[in-house]
Amino acid sequence: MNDVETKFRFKGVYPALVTPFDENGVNESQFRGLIDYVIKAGATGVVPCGSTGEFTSMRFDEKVEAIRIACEAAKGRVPVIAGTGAPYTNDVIKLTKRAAEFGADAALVVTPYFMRPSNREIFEHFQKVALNSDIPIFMYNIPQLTGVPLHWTLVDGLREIDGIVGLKDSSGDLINLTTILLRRPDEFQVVIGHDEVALPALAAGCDGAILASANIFPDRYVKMEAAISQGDLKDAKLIQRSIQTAVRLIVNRGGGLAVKVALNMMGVPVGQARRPLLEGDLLSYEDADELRACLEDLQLIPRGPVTFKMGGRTLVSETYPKAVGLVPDTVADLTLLHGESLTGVGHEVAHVDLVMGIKDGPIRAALENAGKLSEGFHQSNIIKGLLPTTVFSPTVTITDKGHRKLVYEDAQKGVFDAVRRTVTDRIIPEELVPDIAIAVNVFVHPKAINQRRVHLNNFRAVRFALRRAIEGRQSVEEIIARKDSARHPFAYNP
Amino acid sequence: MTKRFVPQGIMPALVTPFTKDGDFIEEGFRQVIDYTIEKGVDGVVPAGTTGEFVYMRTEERKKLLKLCVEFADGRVPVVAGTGQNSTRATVAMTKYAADIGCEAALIVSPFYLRPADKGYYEHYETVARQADLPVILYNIPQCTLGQLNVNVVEDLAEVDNIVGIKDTSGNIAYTLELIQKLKGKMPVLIGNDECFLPGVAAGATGGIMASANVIPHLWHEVMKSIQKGDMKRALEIQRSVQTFARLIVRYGGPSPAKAALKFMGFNVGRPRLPLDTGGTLTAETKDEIRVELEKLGIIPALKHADVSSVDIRKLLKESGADFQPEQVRLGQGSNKTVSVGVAVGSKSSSLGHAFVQLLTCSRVGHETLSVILEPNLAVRPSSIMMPAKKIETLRQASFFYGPVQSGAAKAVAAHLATGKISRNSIDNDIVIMGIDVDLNNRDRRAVTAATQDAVSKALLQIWR
Repeated sequence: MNDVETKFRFKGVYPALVTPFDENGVNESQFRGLIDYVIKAGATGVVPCGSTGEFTSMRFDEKVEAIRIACEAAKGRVPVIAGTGAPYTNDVIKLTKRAAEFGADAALVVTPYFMRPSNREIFEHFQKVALNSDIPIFMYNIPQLTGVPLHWTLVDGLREIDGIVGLKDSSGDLINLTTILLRRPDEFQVVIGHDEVALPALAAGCDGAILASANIFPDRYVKMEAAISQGDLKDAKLIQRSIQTAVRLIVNRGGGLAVKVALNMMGVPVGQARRPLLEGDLLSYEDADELRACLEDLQLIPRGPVTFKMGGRTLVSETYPKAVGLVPDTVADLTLLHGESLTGVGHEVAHVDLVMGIKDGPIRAALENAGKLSEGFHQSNIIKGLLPTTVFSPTVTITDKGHRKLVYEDAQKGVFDAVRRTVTDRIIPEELVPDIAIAVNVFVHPKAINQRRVHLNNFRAVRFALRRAIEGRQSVEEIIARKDSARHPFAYNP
Repeated sequence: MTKRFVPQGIMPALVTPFTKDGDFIEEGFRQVIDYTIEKGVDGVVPAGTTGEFVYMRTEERKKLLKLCVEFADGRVPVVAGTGQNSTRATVAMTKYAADIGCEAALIVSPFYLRPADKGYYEHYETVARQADLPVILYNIPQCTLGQLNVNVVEDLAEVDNIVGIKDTSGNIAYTLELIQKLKGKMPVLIGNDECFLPGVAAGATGGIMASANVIPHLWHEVMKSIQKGDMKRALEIQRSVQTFARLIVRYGGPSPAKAALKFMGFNVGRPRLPLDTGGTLTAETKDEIRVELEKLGIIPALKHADVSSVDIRKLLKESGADFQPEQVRLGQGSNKTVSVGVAVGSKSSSLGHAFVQLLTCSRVGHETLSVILEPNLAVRPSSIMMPAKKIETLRQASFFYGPVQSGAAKAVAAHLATGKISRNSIDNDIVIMGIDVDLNNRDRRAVTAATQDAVSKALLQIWR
């Protein structure tokens, strides 16, 4: 390759774009819509066909198509770094050539995976790819997926190869990354690819970022980078804090699939991930609800009207957080809504079943029994100072003082906070509050010990269960589709 | 030089019985030693991993070894666990074991501050040379986080006083490499109960295992069957003890081993802190151990009542809820494992009232929960289920809220898939199930299938 093209300098934050699919392959209009969205939201470049783009689930011609669309859509606005990696060296060369033809500014080449080549073979792989490429090459280290870590000693040599201009490091290994940063010459560009450590990596001297979550809020990272470059770590930390929970879910629970779920909820349609990735699997139902709540906090979920009907009355919540595809326009009947949710892990899990409805409906049964002590029955109580009226109904036999405290203080506080939050979330309309009641059946394991998690898990469980009750989730279609693959935790032999 | 001792056969990694305050329970220790010797063990191993050696001070450990020699009383050899972090301490402990009459020492590879290959070699070589006792190497990377590489073991096998290796890794490829490369120079003993059969079939000549506190005779039979060439019999026994072995290995070693011995009536107390708080071994798992012991005929089986037909209205009444029969459709389904009564009605009917009542004011032992395919995936129409018989233990609860719940949910989901449940029903009806299950049945898969069968039959009577 000639010298002119090596002048490419990575700047800012590029999303590792998800790839919208339809039955024919890449959904061009959605893909263009996404690229428009990210550029408008502040992305300084785009990366089609990365790991987040599910490149391993695409045929060769689909990858070509995705790169073509990205190059055309981004042209004149932002640079394109095309993902062209593959296990087989010649496949990489072939796709990189096509990317160059479309005008991609550089190629992102993942280390060969599955058959795990030796360092020598990895070296030759990159040598051959660079030698045969007309555009600069960024190497891509993501050992969580490839099983092939690029150690700094290997990078020492690889970065000398003509045509290799940089490295995207998605390992999250800050020890290796710091060594790479300290040893590199200026012209070797190092880009952080692990969303959770973007802040420390940028502070340590990375030239920019290619991130899955930059599909969603590239501006946050752009601002974070600007703050760091001005030496304002305090501001950078505030930005990181605002997105860290969402980022943790995206990175660890499905990558591209999680990003797609998020974008769809925000009203940027990108379709579903390809099989074998599946919603409700690696990104659990719990995670999806959590992700939605994070996006609400970031004001990325559109708000709109939801009509509640009860008997002859109609009430409208004008600013309901209407995650696209999850929320119906009308809740047709408030006689009795039923929701279930389990959150957390280990002994601190919260498992709640709850019902909600108009006070003169069947929920009366819960109100009438609250506070009554009868032999052989679990006792329930109305939570003090909380509206809508909420019955707290623990269904576990109290084993000792510590357990009692976990149930009646921590778990009950979780229920209290969740109900109140659901009103301030504008999910339960204010005008409805006097007319409805909620009853929550709560389980706290006798061996739980971590109070903070018991509180938080019950808060999340009740918050999610209320939303599910109101919004009618999970759907009948989901129930039917998962009837054979559902994983019940106690259904199997030890 | 001591005469070369050849470790072989079945040896229990003895538990160390402790009181709640952490004192030895000598009586319990003697009971386990007597029991295992009576069951034909080829030696006993005090102060191994199962013996919680890491929780014992030097003096305590010496006392324990002494007690063991005294209780074994020459009936079988005592192989003392003498491994410590430092080489010097290991030498001292091994010398002590030699002095009091132990036949050999089982020495875990140094952990926490762990050396590389050379350091492992010199550690073992030093102990073997300085302490006048045959040494068995001990590889347990799950705990030490370090692996004794095969080439180090090969070199150590050349050292006079090193007489064998116990491999607890459970890594069959590693075990087979050891057996192959040692060429019979010294025996390989299996330390991972789950892999005993394949290890022995590949050439291991014995096992030092936690579960050998409980079922040494069964392990003997596996070994003898293999050596006789009767693989069919060996497999049969291994399969019968596989779940028990798995429970012991995966739920913390000493805690489940002690739980099993206590079910058998031995006074083995509890593990020392931080292990005895019920985190690693929950009450549910403890109950599974009991069930396995029952299956193996080690303890008598509890007998549960047979399944009886569920009268859903009667059951609801007993739980303080009722409904008006004319507002409700009923279904009934049963087989020899599960019996179910199902009631379906509209949310605004008397059944809606019962639904809320059961969910929010439940009867102790008859706790009602949503019917879910898995957590966060409840079925529709809104469905709840309650046990017809009172639930007495946590394991029983995990049974009911496990395979029974799963089977019930699968039945509803499958019925939804047929399209027989109208949209109106999905939105406006609720379902209450009362379910009785044969608690003598121990196969969760079978219970899931039986529940799905019974609930499906009942649903078919309601939504044809």
